[in-house]
Amino acid sequence: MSAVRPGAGSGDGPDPRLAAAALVGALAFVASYALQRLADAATEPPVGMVLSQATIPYFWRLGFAAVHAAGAAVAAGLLGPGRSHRLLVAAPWLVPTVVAPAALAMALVP
Amino acid sequence: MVSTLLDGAFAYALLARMHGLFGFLGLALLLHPVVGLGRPGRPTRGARWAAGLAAALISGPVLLGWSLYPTYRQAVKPGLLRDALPVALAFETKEHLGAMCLALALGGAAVLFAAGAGPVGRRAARALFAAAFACGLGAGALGLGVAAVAHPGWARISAGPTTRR
Repeated sequence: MSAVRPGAGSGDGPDPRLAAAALVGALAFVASYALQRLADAATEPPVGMVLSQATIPYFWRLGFAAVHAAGAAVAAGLLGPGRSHRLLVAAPWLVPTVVAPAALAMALVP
Repeated sequence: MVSTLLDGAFAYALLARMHGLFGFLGLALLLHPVVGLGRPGRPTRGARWAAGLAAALISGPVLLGWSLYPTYRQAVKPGLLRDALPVALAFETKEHLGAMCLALALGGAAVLFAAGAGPVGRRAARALFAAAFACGLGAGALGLGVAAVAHPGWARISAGPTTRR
């Protein structure tokens, strides 16, 4: 009989912390990207003026979202196996709770 | 012929079509883990690799789209903003949803490989793949409509038919 890690009693692979880190990282990317876009929309000049910018805000948002996702993933990876397991259990409702409003916001505020 | 192939508009149009075609192919592959991981029981090794492959294959068209974005912004977007503002805004929404799709698909594959042997990891990965598919479907639908308008020839087309003497 192999040793059972806390939170891994259902046979969920070698370490649920890695999976939880991936889950949190993906959701953090989505949330960060949407929030950045909404913040940009609140402060940016009229549509035609955006073209005169030397940098491309879209790539900056992607880069910052990736950094935020990496940070959130590292933080989630520091959680104990029990909390990581609970995060994974919550994923079926946590994912749509984060993604649906973000996607809707991106449709309403392109 | 060579000068035509090297023409920026031709290259853009070709890569944009590849972006769309491979995007829909990747989207179809993304549906596989959404359906497959919904079945009870442990996902097979093949199912896990198929999910990883789907995430990898959706990355290609998204990265190709990112490589085209500066050209779009410089050569296509100004005309769209002037003559077809809803299309230009739909393009931006498509880009937002595409980025979300990629992050969620890669996250789903990572969850599946890290903890996917059991039901908890399988369900978590499936939720991410389903969200990725939904975002990708939205991006694909918008892209299909936008592609009919957003290309370097838009300015010439929007100017109306020309008469030849």
